[in-house]
Amino acid sequence: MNCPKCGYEIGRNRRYCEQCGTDTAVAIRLYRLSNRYYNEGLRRAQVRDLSGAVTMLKRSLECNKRNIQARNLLGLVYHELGEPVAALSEWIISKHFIPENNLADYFIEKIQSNPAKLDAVNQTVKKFNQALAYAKQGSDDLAMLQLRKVISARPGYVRALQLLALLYMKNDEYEKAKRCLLRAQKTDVANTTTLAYLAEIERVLNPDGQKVHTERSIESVSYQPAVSAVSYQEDKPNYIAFITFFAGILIGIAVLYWLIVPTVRSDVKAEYANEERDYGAEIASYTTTISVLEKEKENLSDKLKEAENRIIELRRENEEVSAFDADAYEQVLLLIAEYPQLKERLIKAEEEEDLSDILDDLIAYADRLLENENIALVRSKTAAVYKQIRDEVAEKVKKYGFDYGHDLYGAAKYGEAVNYLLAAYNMGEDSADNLYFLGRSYQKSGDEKNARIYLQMLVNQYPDSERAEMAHQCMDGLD
Amino acid sequence: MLNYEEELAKFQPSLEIDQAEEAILNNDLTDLSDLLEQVITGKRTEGRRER
Repeated sequence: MNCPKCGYEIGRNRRYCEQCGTDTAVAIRLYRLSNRYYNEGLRRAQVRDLSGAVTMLKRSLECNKRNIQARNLLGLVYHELGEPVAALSEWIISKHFIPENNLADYFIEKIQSNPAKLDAVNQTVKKFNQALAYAKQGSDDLAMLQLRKVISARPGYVRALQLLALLYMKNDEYEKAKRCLLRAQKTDVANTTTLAYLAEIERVLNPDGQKVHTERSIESVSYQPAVSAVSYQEDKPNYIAFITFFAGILIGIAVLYWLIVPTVRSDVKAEYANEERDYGAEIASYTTTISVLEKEKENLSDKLKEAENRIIELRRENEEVSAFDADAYEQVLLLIAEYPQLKERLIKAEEEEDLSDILDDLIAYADRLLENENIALVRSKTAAVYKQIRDEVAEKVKKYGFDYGHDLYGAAKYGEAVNYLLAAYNMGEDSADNLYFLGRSYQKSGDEKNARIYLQMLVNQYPDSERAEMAHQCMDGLD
Repeated sequence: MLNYEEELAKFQPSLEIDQAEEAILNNDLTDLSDLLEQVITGKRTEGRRER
């Protein structure tokens, strides 16, 4: 605490101020008294005796105006009673005495942080004042209307509830008054005005001093005795209710059968018809799709066959390519290139009827044709040309080889005759005469083995011919 | 028996926000300590005058 004269902070047990020497005994007693009143005010506030708390806290401040705890608590009680300005006043004064570390800062900030709510509270205060003015003027209805608005906005506003209760009582609406007062009592349990009004209502409603069962059971702070139970009576069965119930069921079933079921059936039929139509359209589209796909399938099959044929052809060409020997094929091309010149010489020799110069070349050419036949036939493009040349050359060699060889056999030049006759045979001259003279030429040349071969061939191929008999005779002379 | 007029007269208007400043300024903050100080100061002054 502080010295009441100089304001110097002194200890509680100090009798004199150390600064100015003032006797502080009385000041200390006032300080303690203020605290005692504050404690009492706090106790009353804790049990919701707000009016009593206000009284105690005011006394506390009368003893010591600097009792900040009492002042802050007083502001809080005023706020709870619905007096915002009174609350703010106390907190601001509290801040005046102690500006720093003061709980009043929190309370003030709480109120000022929501300007809309503060304005709403101010509006209720104005409406209360207006209602009070109406009531003092005698306009009870207007006053009650305003007060109901105030209470709906702030249900804990004690003075508004008390004023409204007073007006109800004035208009003999005691039950409503009682309800208002009981609500006020919830906020401030021991308010003397509230208790006085409740006592008045009790007196009016129950002039004989007994408790009366009210129309509605009202929740209050003081507990009411329980209502006596009514005597038990057996319930009689309500036949009409049963009959009505079953009649209602029957009517409902009838309505269902005659009205609702046909409609539902027709709806279901229509739905099925729609679905059938939809499915039909779907089936038609699927059928069309199937026919299109079948056509595509045929086309694809044809294409597949074409592709397979092409594959075979390509494989053949691939074999041709694999079998292709470039050097050997070059020989074939040379052979083909030589033929026109050879043919020209042959024609000229035939015209001159002198084949002596060309016959050997022709036979050599024919041998080369035979040697390169496989390679020439691999390539389809050269095969045709080659075959044509080969056939032409073969005809010439067969004819002229046999003739010339036969002439040499007649001239007893057996060795040379074998060459020409054999060349004719190789080109396909396998007549009986050619075989006979070939075999005889071998025989005359001393080659009995080859002689037997061709003579036997003659006998096998031409058994009934004259040459065959002659061949038999020749073979008998062989070893 | 409740006198409604008397009870009604007991009700006073609540302070509005714009009246807060005036209410704070008019607030009497004199406590018993101040009174005691006044009494002490007054006795001393009288004592000096008597001399």
